[in-house]
Amino acid sequence: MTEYLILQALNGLIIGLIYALMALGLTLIFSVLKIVNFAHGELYMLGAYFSYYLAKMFGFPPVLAVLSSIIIVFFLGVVIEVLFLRPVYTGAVERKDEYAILITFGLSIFLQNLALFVFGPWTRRSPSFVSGTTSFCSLSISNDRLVVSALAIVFMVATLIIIGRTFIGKGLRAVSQDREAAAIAGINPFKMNLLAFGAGSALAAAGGALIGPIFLIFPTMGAMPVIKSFVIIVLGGMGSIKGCIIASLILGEAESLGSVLFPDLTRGLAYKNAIGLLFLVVVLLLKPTGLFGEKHVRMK
Amino acid sequence: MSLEVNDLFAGYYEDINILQGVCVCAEKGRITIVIGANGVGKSTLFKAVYGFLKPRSGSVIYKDEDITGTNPYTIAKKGISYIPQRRNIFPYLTVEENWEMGAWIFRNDKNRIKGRIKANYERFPNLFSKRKTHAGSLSGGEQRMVEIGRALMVDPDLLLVDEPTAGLAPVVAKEIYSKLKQLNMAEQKTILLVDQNIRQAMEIADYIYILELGKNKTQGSRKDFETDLKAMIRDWLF
Amino acid sequence: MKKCFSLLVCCLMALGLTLPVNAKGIIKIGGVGPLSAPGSFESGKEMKMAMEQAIDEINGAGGVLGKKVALVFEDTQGLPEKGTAAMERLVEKHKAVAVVGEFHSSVAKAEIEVANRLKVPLIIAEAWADVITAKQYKYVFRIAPANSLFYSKIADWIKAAGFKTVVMITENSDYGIGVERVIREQLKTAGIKITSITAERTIQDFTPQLLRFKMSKPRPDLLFGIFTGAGELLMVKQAHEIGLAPTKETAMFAVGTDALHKEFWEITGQSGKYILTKTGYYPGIKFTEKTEPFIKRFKKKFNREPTFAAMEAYEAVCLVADAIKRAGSTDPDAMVTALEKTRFTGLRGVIRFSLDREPKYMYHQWPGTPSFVIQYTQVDQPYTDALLLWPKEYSHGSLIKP
Repeated sequence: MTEYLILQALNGLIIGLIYALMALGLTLIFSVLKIVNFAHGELYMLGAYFSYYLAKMFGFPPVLAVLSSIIIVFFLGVVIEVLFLRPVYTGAVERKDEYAILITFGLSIFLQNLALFVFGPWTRRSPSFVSGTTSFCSLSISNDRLVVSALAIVFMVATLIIIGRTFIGKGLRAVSQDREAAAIAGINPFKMNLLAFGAGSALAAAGGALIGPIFLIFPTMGAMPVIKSFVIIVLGGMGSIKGCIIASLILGEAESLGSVLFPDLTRGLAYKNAIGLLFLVVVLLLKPTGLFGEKHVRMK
Repeated sequence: MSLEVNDLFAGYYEDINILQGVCVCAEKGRITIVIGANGVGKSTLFKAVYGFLKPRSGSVIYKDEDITGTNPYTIAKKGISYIPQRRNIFPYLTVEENWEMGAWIFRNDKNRIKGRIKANYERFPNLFSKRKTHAGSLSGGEQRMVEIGRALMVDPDLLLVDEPTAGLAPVVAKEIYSKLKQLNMAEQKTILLVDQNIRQAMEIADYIYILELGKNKTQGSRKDFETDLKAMIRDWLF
Repeated sequence: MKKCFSLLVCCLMALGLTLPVNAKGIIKIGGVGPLSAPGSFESGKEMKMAMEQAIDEINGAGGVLGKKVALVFEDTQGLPEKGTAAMERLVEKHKAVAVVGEFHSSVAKAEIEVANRLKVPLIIAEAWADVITAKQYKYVFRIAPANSLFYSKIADWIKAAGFKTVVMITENSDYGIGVERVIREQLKTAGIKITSITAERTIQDFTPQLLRFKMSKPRPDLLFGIFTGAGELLMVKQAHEIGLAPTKETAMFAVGTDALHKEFWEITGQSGKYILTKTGYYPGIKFTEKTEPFIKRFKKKFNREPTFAAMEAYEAVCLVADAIKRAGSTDPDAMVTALEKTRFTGLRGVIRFSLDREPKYMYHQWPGTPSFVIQYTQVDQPYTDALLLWPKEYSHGSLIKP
């Protein structure tokens, strides 16, 4: 039983890391652009498809396919920002919050159906990073899951270093904390919007491309993870990067362990999503700003 | 002449001009102050100069260049720094990171940044021990110092300062005015200051403009005003 | 004289050309099925392909009552409310004379209500819940098997194969719950130990429960997955990854139609070997003379092996055309009477509709729908080459353990 719980905790950690990548992207976009990107799940889906096709049709090695896909989606995010989200900041639309919700929501539906049309309805799977399984005592875990968690950690640490230590990253944080002050300091907020949306999209794509060999690729694959990401950023405190990562890991573990420790064993899986949401409700009751909520980014 | 604002009209809503033909000049190496009652458009003047508000007509000339309606992040490169009235530090960046952000326009020149930060510690020695602290957790006066320090990172020729002591204790306010005077005397910064704290601001001013309802009311050197200052204040208060 | 003659010829020709045109018009047949999320769009797409093929062939053979037939297909997205709206649109806006199709039981349940209300014949092609025919609506027919009908045969195999401890993972849908109930009841009476788990259709990670099964004592000898879509494929993959099934100790049965698609192998790879699944069609068994030509044409047109869902969709369209021919009109009541007398040679036998009212689901149900248990013995094997295990009379061998 102990072995089982350990392995289960490990599984929860892996899921949590993937959640974290995606939620980190959502947080980045939210803190800099102050909009909630409802099309985030579709960027995740596109990341997975691009990586799949690069590997299958052009014979890219899996890791290279993932990296290329991330770069492609970065630029896709930049294009989306310029075409659809610019009006929010140039004052071209009057009710910018409503506009942002509608435009990203519409984009989500459009991209989902475009994928259904272009890629077809059949479920796909990216080639394995490393095939086979690794055994621990009597239990085994697939190599793909190990590689994916390692890569997820690499991407996450890279993101944290960029945001925390580099000048560009500090600039992003500065814009997120005070747009006007950043402009006074000479930071062009439009460029930062571009960068944040591109990077946020790239993080979603990283999650999708990594999950490809484990959880399969289909046009609606982003629907569940994006809801999880919303839960995570609220749980962690809107806009908090630390909160976002910690909340991801907590959610991954809560779902993973919750569903096996659930009193009625036969219902454990059925209540998996509910466990995470229950956790969210409890946290919000005790701390309405989330675990690490920062006041300045709270939604009005 | 450092900055010239000519006949400026600007406002937030259609058909309502807060500024109705304001003319202000900031002479090089001097402290010029703009005073007036609440709501005459002092802060609006700075917003229009610094590109946050597009002027409807009139012009802003800086060192013989027309910068009317230029974006804030472009103006920052021209050697003008702006310290708005409301708190505008980055609360979750450290003091030093705040200053680094002030150096955004030459962010690849690490040595220059280091030098500017060092100069700031010389100006504000008591911030050195707090350099790794989040700026948001400093006291109000210290936050102002951080802001002034950030504005000085680009080594500007002209500082636009908007009510620097609003909401601060009188002792702290005094310190800030003396810092501004020091910047003017020791570093030859041109300063354009708008303020409500008339008595203290007057003490450091070289030239004074008085606005009323979006228009120039009167102007002159400090000496011209010294005699009827008391009468003026009484006028506004009652 | 010559002029007169040529004029006459011209007139006759014109008449000959215009007469059929006047009588022409189009008979519209409605199609319903999931083409987008959250429906199982991969199966809906396949059904639509097969329906289009049927329409082409009927028109190629001269149409029905001298008229062309046309398919109007509505995407029902796996959502009951979309099914209701689609039915209403097809009947009231497009004037479809009959509707065929559907894949999801929950949607079919909504659609039969509309068919009953608007009095339009509806042939359910691939939704299995008992209740669809158990409501005994006059206008509702079904060529897909009812869950009880089909899965009691599968349960017979489980009993015959001698499994002692069976674990089931079921999707939280009308279909899943229905199948689970049939199997559970059948096995319980045979004294087989059952553990049953339900999960959301959107679930992606089964490993927690699979690990638990692997560690339970006694270890289950059959894992029975009642899932459709990506969930089924993930379960197969994950069961293999953690070394639960298919293994020497534990066999795995995946009931969803996705196990028959060629994409199954891309996803499961090595883990798909030795998987058991069910099908409503198996080649080599000569059903009717129409079977082979259909498959050939379908493969040529769409470059994939049709599953029985495609066959049912194809047959459903043909049944409507056949009923209209025999009824001599598109009057709904006349069509129902004709459908009740159907003796149509389909792709998997002669189709007829039972009029028995007991058991309840048997009304307007094709009782002859075949069911097979097959096992993959190689990676990348088309299901048509898989080992046929059941029914006994056709069996090619017995269960292979890796």
